[in-house]
Amino acid sequence: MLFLSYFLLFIGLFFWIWGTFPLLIKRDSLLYKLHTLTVADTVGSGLILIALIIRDSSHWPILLISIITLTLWNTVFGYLLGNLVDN
Amino acid sequence: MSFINPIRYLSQILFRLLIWCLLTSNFRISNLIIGITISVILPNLRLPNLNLSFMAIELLKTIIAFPKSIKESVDLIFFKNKEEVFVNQRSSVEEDGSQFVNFLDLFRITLTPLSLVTRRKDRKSWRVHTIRNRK
Repeated sequence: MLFLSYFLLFIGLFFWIWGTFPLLIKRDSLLYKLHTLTVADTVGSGLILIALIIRDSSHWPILLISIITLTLWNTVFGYLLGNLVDN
Repeated sequence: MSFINPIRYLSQILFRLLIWCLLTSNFRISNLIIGITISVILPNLRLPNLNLSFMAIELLKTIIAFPKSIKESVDLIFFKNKEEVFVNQRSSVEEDGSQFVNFLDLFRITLTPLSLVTRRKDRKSWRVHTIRNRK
């Protein structure tokens, strides 16, 4: 179980780094950066939180709430920024 | 409208109670009673044009989108020649349909890393920014 937790944690960290890196590259478009940030924020953070649930299952309600709010806000702000870019 | 559908009312109460229990992370009887009281006191949601069975299908589709987003992240990482295009995607309800289902549809498309809704194209479709692998 601990191995699975570490595995998810490192995949989440990899997604974080891979998804944030394009922010520094000037030639990437803003919308492409939003796509990679979805990888980092929604999927990466989600995997890290799942890893934490596996590790410390007594705190599952608050971690589940964090997963839900993270995905909700990331998606809503992704849409908001995409809408502003497109206009 | 004064008449409230009992199933809808019950699901609303259960949904609020679920959020209450998750937030307080406490399933003792006294806490449940407080949660039920609060969910009854809070004003009723006004969600017109909402068909409950249709909404359940949409909710299921949204839950399926979570594993799909992991797959799409891996796809995005391994794409060699990325190409950014705008496509028009049909929405599951029209613009003046249920607001909640519209939100779920938008949420589902934007959640996955390869597609991002930017705005409504017309009454029946979204304008979606997607990333493809150029052949």
